[in-house]
Amino acid sequence: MKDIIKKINAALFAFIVFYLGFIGFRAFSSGYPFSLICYNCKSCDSVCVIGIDPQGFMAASIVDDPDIYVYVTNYRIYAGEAEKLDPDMIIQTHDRKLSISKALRDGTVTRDSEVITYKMKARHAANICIECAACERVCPVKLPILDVVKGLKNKESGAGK
Amino acid sequence: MTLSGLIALIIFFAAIFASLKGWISQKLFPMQVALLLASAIIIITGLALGEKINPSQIITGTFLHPITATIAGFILAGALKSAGAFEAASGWIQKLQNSFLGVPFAVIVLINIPTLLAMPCGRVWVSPLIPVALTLGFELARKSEDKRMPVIIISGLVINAAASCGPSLIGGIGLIGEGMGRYPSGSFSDHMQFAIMFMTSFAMILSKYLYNETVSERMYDLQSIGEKQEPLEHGAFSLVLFISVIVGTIIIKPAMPVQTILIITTFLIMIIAGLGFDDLVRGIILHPLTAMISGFIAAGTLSMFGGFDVLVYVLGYISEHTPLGYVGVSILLVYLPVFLPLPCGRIIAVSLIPGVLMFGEHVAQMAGSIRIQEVMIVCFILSGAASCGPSPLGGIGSIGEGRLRLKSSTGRFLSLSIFMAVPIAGFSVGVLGLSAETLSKGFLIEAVITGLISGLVTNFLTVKKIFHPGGLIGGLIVSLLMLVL
Repeated sequence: MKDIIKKINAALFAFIVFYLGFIGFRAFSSGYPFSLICYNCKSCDSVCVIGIDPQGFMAASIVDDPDIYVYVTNYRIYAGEAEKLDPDMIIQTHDRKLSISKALRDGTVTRDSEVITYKMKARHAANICIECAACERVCPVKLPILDVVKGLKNKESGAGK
Repeated sequence: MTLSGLIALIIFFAAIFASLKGWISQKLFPMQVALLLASAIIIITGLALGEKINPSQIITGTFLHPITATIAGFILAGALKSAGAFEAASGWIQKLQNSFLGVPFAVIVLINIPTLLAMPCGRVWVSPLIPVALTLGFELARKSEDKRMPVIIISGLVINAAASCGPSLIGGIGLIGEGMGRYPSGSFSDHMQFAIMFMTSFAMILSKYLYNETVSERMYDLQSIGEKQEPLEHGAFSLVLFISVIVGTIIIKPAMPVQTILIITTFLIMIIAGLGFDDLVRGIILHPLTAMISGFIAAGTLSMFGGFDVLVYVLGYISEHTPLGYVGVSILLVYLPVFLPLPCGRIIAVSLIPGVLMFGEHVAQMAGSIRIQEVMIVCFILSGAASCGPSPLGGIGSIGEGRLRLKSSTGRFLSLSIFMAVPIAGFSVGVLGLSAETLSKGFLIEAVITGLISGLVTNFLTVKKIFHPGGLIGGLIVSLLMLVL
């Protein structure tokens, strides 16, 4: 293997190791390092009545980013409200999944239409969570998911954790 | 469907295909580098097309659970190796061979352990069990004068371990499918476990009759030197501790991550056997870990640009505009992970589960039977879970080939065994349905049939007496335990 190729390979392998360490660092800096333990088994997803994928809250903690998109597949909202909240929110309509802004632009829905969500930002999903704790009960490692939800709600309002 | 998604999909599959075919030489750019470079190209292309990039969305595509479970498993394997547990296991196997149950019992139990006590990643079991399987294989080869025996045993163990992450109730891929599809928790497991027993038998038969390379004489000499080593003092105790902890974890299912349990066990073994941290390093294999991480980075990048949505759209288009239809495309979709075998089945499998559920729903609507969706998702997950076995890019199969110093790959035979066994899981779901209740008459019958057939095959391959009690009793014990655990 030529020297330059060796260096490229070594650098990229080092990047992989650094990447793993970076994930750990971000999880700790989010204040919820236990999110690293999440099995990603989706047991929580199957019990949420609003169709939120609570594993998405764990993912938001791991990356310390409340704006990542999580699945919310059973929540109804008026199109106008959805666009005001987040123009890039993904909705389901006529067997398609598209952003609310695109749906309004295309005339697929009107501002007064009621739409079903598909994906929204984690901090918005935290606001609609009814905190029934069904997800915590089925979690195989009993992660305190609601702690993360409450933290994300605070992020929405700009208050601290 | 977006242009950036389409371009991302083409780049992703091009990188995988080129690596698999050897057009990107692994000596020049290993799989990991190819995937990272593909991810970089996808990001640059996306930026050029005006897409918004959120690095967090890429990171969420990385599944930490199998990575950390594999690391913990490797560390534990290093401790077990240094404490002499494998030598102790070899001694036990020797004693078992001399009992009335004989070699077939030892073989069928050993090769089915990964699925019986399924971990989130099959590599957790492959590391400690391969040395034991090698001892058994070489012993059998000497007795039967069939130099392919080590290959046969290792092929069975490898495909069993590869597929075992599917039915694992500790964060296996099956649980993900159950959660996303809103099926009862644990309902996929038994169907997959019994199919895996068949898969193991198929892999062993195919290796015996279609694989031409035999293990070199030099390996027999090396193995003999290894076997002559004196067993270490704390080997047996470490082995008992390890097995007890794993069995206890499977039965009790404590609300504690399996990684923590494995690391605590490692520390206990270190204290008992007086090991240092250097002794732990012996078990760590970096290649599969880096391959998994780079694969997840690539999948996360693809997902960020909607590449998987494009894939589902394309499959839907093919279904509606070609003679394949939904049924034909469904079959292709189920086997897609085997066509593109990556070092970890989750890389493609988990991203496509929503697509498979959607396809299954369409086919179910057309056929008027909801069961079809269940069949599709279970088959897809089993196919995805097992696909890391034959992967030439750091799959579990290559660990076995490396240990045996084989020149030719066993990948084709492992792939064929997957093709043959996946429909068995589908048939099981089709007849028995999905339920969290596993101690039913139907499952009991399935367990008995599976155990007996596996036993007959093992008897035939090892001692050429198909009704030897060892294989039959061993097969029944394994299959009935799978039902209970």
